[in-house]
Amino acid sequence: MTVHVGKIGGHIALGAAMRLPRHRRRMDFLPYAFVAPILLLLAAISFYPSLYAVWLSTTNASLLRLAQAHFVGLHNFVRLAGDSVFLNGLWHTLRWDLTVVLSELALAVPVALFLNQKFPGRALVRAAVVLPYILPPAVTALLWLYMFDGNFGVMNDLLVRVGLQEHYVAWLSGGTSSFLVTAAAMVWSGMPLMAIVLLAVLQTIPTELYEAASVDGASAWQRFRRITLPHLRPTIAFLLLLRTIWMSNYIDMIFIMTRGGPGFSNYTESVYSFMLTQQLEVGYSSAVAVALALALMAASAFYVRHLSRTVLA
Amino acid sequence: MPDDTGVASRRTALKTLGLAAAAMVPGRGFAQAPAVRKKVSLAFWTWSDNPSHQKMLVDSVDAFNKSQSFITVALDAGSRTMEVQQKVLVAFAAGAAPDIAGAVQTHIQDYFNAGILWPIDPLFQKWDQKADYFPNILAFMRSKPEQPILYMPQRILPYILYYRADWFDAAGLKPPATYDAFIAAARQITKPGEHAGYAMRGVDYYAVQPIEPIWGSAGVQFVTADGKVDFADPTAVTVTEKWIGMFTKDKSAQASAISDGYPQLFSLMERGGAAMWIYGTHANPQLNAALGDRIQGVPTPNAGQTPRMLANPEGDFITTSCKEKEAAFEFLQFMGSADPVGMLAISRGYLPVRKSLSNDPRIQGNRFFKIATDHADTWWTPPFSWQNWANYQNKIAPYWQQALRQEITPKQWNEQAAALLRGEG
Repeated sequence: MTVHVGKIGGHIALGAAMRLPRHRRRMDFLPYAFVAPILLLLAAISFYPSLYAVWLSTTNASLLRLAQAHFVGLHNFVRLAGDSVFLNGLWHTLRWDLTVVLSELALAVPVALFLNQKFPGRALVRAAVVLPYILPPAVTALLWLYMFDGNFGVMNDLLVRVGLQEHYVAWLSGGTSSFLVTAAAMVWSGMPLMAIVLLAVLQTIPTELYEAASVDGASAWQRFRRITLPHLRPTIAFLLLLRTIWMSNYIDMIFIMTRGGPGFSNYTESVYSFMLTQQLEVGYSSAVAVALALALMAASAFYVRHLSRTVLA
Repeated sequence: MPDDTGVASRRTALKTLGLAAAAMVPGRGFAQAPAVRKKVSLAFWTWSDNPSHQKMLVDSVDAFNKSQSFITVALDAGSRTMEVQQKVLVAFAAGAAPDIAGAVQTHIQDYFNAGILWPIDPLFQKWDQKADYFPNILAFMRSKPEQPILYMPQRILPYILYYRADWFDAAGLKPPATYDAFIAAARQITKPGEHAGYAMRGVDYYAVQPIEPIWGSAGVQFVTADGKVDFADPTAVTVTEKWIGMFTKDKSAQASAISDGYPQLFSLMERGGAAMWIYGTHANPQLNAALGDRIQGVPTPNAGQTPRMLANPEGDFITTSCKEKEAAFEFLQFMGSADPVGMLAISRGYLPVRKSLSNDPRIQGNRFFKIATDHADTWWTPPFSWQNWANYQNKIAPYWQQALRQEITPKQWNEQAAALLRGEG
């Protein structure tokens, strides 16, 4: 039982609690005991590494010279302000987030609407749609990498056969084309998640609403706009936030398909942080990661506040 | 059985492994006379390039554990080369480093500087097999001339120039011996729409590595004895310009060079998409299987009077935190003996680093190995021991792609590389 401590009739009710039998007061620790293991686990695997990353970001730590690492204050963050790879990475991250997340949404809504219809073999189609999401990202990346290979890729072969290209194109050698191919692979892989979540929401919308709207003469577009979309909007808002955070931190597909290249043209901030870790510069790498985390926290807070006043109000 | 390449199947190697455990090192049998006579457990971390390589490592360690009853080695070989370096560095900082770790020559000096590598010199000097190592290998084992013996290389990977002999014959061309002849041959043998003259790599540091002996043969030292970086000097820039010119001007490299790595280049060669490729001898079994006599090899072309053949040793070292160094050295001796070398080196296209193992028929009967062994006196590595070499090697790749895309000039690329070698950036 929880004992509430507060003002009752202008008097502090602490005395009542003090008078409780000893064994009753001991019970107060029980809820804390229940949550303690998970809190300790979180502290060990989440809070401590995060705080340690913040600490590392204020040092010049390199894995090759860890013993000589020392505190450098905000030097790494000042360095970021003049680092062209980091500054360009802001645009690369934004470009990646917007392209992938909005494309996923644009495809997921019609796919979810389609999967919500009744047709023969629907269960099979639903399972097939989820397949790209089930594949490990590394496998998806390699599939797309070889499909678009400039020497033996099946896409080049198809495009040449149908006459859309005269010769093979080195898709992954161009800054923009490599970005588009990588983003397409990511959308192919990530869209099913959005579609399935939206499908789940669609299934909660009462059919009576559509029936009533039809009786009132509403067109299919009007039914979508006035009934479906308002029901989907809170979930879409949540998915946009979640996928944006995930995509901002995403490395696998970009690294496997492009290594961030050609040059630095696909270096998002998370890829840059990862590459710096590969270069053993864990101090500076942590600074990039901390800067990215701060930017995401600020953007998320702003977004959630905006949602609470509009969509969720 | 050895095939035409002189490479034995893994089954053959495995079959002989157990039988030969007692006679693995000339003049010394592990089963009969172990140096360590107490129960010892050792942790050994190394990398594996693929599941087959991993299995060979498992089999080798098992063979060692069965060859004597005192030392037990526990293997961790689930990572790639760079990941092992990171794991060892982090584990050492956390006080949990392994006893023995695998390393490529590139990382040896860094491990030593970081206080992780324990020089094996005291034990090596007492070893009766020490004279079996090639003199230039002994130099690699020191990393720097004034240093003690640091580690035990097991194998070495020389780089040669593979070329399509049938196309060269048809064009009336000889395989190139000089850098200028190489550039010209690439241009002449290119057939637009059919095949490129040279299979050029654009991805990661290994895109640059085949050019290093060419810079070296042109007289570029990268870093002079007094610590001056000469990599942006006109000589170095000229070599770079010619190489990049194959892609940007001559069009003698494939159009996808910027984004091509090992799998793409191998496929290109295998299906007749390129006439030449500078790569390690470890590609020879697959190339020979795919192309037969049509693929031949010569030493990498040189740009000056001093021939250089890039040859990177790989092996194992003992960590400073290892408490049983004699036992660890016993294991290193085993890994340098005939059967592990046969499996982990020769069957994978690497060469042994010991004289007594170089007479293996699998080496003598392989035309690609023979090129490398015939020029063993030119085996060379760039100055891996330079304090900022890792800074250069780890960071130069994106700039190389920028140079191929002509976003920066070859001169600017060399200046960027020189800055990284000076520890800047």
